[in-house]
Amino acid sequence: MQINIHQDRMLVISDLHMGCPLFKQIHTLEKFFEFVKQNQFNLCINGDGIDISQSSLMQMSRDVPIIFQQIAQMRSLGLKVYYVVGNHDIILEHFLQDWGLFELLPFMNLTTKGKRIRIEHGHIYDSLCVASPIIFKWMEIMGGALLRFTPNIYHLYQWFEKQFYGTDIVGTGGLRGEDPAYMRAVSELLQRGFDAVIFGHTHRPGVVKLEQGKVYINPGSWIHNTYFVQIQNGQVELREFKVSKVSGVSSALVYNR
Amino acid sequence: MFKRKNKDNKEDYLIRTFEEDYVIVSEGDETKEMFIIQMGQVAVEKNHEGKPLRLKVLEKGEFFGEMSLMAGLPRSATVRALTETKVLVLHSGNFMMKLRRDPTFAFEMINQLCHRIRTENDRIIQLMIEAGISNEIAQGIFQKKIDN
Repeated sequence: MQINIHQDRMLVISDLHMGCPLFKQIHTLEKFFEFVKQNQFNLCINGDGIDISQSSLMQMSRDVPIIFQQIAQMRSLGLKVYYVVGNHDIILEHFLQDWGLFELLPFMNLTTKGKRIRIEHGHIYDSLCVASPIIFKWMEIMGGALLRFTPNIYHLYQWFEKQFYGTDIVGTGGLRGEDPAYMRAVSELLQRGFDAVIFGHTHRPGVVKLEQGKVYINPGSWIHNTYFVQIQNGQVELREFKVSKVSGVSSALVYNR
Repeated sequence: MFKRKNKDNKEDYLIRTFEEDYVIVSEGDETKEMFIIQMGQVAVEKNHEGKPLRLKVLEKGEFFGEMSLMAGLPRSATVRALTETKVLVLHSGNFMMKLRRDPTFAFEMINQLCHRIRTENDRIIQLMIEAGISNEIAQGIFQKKIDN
């Protein structure tokens, strides 16, 4: 399997969770794929694109064919679509590989204009996943069962996470509400000659600027928002994809928080 | 409600910077560290007929010295900095810690080593073709056990 990729134009999205009852952005996602094709970008889906752990079959059968069709069109235009496996779609690995639409990877080392960028889902750095992979998996499955009945329970989980990791942690320099383990992982990776690290998994979008021009970016999840990472001419930026409700025109704004 | 203390007990790795043309390790040395290139370029050279023969050039993200670290053998080649080069230095103890803290590092090492083996196999075959070595003699060479 090829983990070292050379591309100068790439967009990265993460945590779509297609098939999950919480994912309601299918039409915006379709417009996003139109944007990708029109602007001739390659695409990387950085994990949890399809949510088999917490899915509703009805929603899956509605959402997935639309997106697979878009991806097939991208490939016919000569654009590449990479799929980094996450924790919610790991069971689908063989299926996704055999389908032939994606280039499947456990993580990606992207080289562009002299820069090295690590694109990885990040679930293997999750403290619970590290401490107990079995409990981690069972929580995922039970969470899926609960989501069918009360989707709002996810907001409770997010609130709890924010209290636990908080905004008042001193010295982590990480993203608000994110387990400090991710910044430690970023630090370890940057020490090996990477210039930027892109993780998903935490659903916390943001940019952390570090010394010597290095950066950590998380595009968050398309459950809550529509951010993506744009890699072009050696520049790595977090942007927001918006579709005007009035005109239907789409735009990609630079993240500025 | 909850306040979580920062448990970042980051261990500092040894980082060294070498000037252009500096010899980082010499063929035959008994040193045992492994190096990961953070920045710069190095050339891997072997002594052939009294002159350095450049085997390959390594860049940012690649590593060298792993054979001495893993197998405890003397350096099999000389590594020279082609530009100002910064490396992460790993001894056996913090190599193990590195694998624990950075799990994809092991995957990448295996990936790079697989690529090197494939490249070297192709080179051997190419050299044999260029030297006009017959298939029977080549078979004999490959079947002969080499003692280290």
